[in-house]
Amino acid sequence: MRKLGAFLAKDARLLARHRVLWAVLVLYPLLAAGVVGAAFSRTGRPVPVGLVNLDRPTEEVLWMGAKVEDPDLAFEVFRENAGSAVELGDEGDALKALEEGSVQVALGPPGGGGWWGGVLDPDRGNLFLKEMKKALSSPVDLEGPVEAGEVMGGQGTLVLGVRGSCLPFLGEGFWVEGQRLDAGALAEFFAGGSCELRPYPGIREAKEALTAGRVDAVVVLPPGLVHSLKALDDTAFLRIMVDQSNLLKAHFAETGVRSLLSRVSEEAVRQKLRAVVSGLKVLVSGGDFFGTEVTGLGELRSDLERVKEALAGRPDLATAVSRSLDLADTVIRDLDVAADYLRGTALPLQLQLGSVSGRPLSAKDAAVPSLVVLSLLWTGMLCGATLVAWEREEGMLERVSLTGVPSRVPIAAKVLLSGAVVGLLALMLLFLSSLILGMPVSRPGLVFAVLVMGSLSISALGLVVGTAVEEVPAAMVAGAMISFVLLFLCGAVYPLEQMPVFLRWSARIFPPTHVQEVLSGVLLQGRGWRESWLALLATTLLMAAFSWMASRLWSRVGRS
Amino acid sequence: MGRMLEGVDLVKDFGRTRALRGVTLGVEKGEVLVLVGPNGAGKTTFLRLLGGRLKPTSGRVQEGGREVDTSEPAYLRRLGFVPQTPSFYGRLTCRENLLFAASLYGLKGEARERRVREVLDLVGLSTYEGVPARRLSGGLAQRLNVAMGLLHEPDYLLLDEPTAGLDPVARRVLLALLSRLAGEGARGVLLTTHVLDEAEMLGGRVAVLEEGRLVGIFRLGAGEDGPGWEEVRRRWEGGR
Repeated sequence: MRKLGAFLAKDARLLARHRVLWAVLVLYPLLAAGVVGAAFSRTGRPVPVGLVNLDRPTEEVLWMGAKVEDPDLAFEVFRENAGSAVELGDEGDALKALEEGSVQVALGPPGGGGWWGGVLDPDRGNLFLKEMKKALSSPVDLEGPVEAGEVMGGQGTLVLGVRGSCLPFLGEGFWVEGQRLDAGALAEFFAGGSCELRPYPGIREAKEALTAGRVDAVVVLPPGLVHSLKALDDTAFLRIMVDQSNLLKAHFAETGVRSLLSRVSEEAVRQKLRAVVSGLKVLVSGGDFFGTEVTGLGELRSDLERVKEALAGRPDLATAVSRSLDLADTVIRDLDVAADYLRGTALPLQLQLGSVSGRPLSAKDAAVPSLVVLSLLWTGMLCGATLVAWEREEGMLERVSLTGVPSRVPIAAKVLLSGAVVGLLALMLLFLSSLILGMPVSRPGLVFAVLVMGSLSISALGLVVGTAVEEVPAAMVAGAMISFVLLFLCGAVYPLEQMPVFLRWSARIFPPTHVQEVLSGVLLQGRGWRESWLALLATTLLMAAFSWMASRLWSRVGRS
Repeated sequence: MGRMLEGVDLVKDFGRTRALRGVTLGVEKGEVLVLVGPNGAGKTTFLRLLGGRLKPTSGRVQEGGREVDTSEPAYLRRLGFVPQTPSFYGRLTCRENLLFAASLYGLKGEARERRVREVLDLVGLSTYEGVPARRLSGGLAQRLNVAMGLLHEPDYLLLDEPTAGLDPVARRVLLALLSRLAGEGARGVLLTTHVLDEAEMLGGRVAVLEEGRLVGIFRLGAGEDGPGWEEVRRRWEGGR
């Protein structure tokens, strides 16, 4: 114990007198945590999203395209629905014909021949577009045939051009809370806090903004979007482009856009079901049933009552009428029940997002365990590696070996000292997180235990690294290099579950993985001792294994 | 009792290279044995074999005529090994370095303090005891290096080229110190050097190693150096 104390005191003195090392081991992680914490403090702000509204009155040609399995069938549908269809030749001819107005619609392969055109009656515009969307199966809005070639390739791709003038439903309004909103305004209305919409006149301009990084995603509202939202038998296909240059940014963008569109979709479903319910009521009361004036079942029933009274002298016929009256009553009741049912189940899913920790969590909260693990990893690896490399650099490892002191003594002292430095730093970070971010630390005993074991085990790993190098700068470099790899491998930055199986298993032989698991489990998932003891045990065993390994290597280096 | 620490027929191979080719040589308590030889002659290898830092390919190490296990802690504690490059913690003071080393040898309390003071006096570093070791000059640093090997009062002091890199004055002071250590402490001092003048300055026994072989042992300053030593000197000076 006395020799252990001598090593501890000596190493503590050495550390305390090395200002640069202090800066690297303690100040740097604190600064880094501050910077990362500050970066995360703004998460949750609206994602900048480019909006291209093609559902607006226009004289221009609107384009959409799709890869189709059977182009002949698509042409067949086109010829059937485009009015007087004519062969146009190649893409250039088709563009010219559309521009001149000799055809209102055209279909063909991008960059190829065999285009067809049609002179479309504006009254048939809605039906034409609906049929073509079916034939092309999920077409995507495009800025023109050239983009179709770029995005989808040539083989099996068909492009449909439609002059806006033959689509009367463009710019249709959707009533929400007493306001008539066109597609763009509708998106703006439901953007809420998830998206900050920036309108662009066309797909090209929006793509340029996406490429330049001015927006994180682009949403193209297709022609007839509002019409599709209101129709009972139509589906709108939206083209979404996301900047995937950064996985996290792409994730935020996708989440933001999905959130916006789900709110729009929800309102559309609500309104459609309200319309169906109203329709069911009209069946009873009579009136406008989706554009057709109908006599209500209630009125028919009154008529039957009168007939029954008139047939008072004919009990056989009166009985038959009574049966009809009963049937009418049943149908009216059933319609009421159906209306109630639809009202009640219009939106069967109401999401209430929460965390298992029992309190709402933010990205800031989620960053805390990762930041603590990162600091453990950085300081533990570098401190452990430096403490051993120091002995070699000063030539003291050999001298210490000559004293006959077993190698486990200096190794134990270094694990303890490095563990203390690392553990104190982690506690400080956790305390600051709690103070600044207001993050409550649940189960402090368990958190303390995992920080202690994590600090010791990562320090022991650092010692192993230190035995492989002869100088402190080399130890720093080696420690930093290994930290960098383990940073990704431990799941603090990228979820472990998303990694290949062999990496997931490899990660288990390093302490940071277990520390991250327990810390995030306790702080963010409400885990306790029962769920964490195994990871804690693994951390302890790894500490023992790495300490043993460091001790063996120390002896070997001391003998050489 | 004048016991001798001796390497007997020591052979050491490093891969295909034979660094020592059957060297038998020993140092007695109370004497200074200088092992001289050009670079690569096998001086350090011989020293490290005696010091338990290397295992011989063949041959043995004997102490008082008995073979010893050079990895035994008890044996190691009877040696003071002074490596060529000064080995101590640069950010600790001379005194802190010595206190730490003394603790490793099991010294504690007042005994530890006393021994550290004695050694500081012995090597002439008392006035520098509070100076961080990295601020010491080359000569003082080498004295601290020797002091670190002396703390536990070893029977034998093995020094690997202790004067390397020192200026002439510092070299002379250090050699005088080593001479005194052998005499006063009744301990055997074995040091290596490739400078013949140092061997002559110290006097006593000088062993010459060349290409892993012991080519001669001379007793300088006692009229026994004779023509053999002159020949060694001529050969070395001719080769320079």
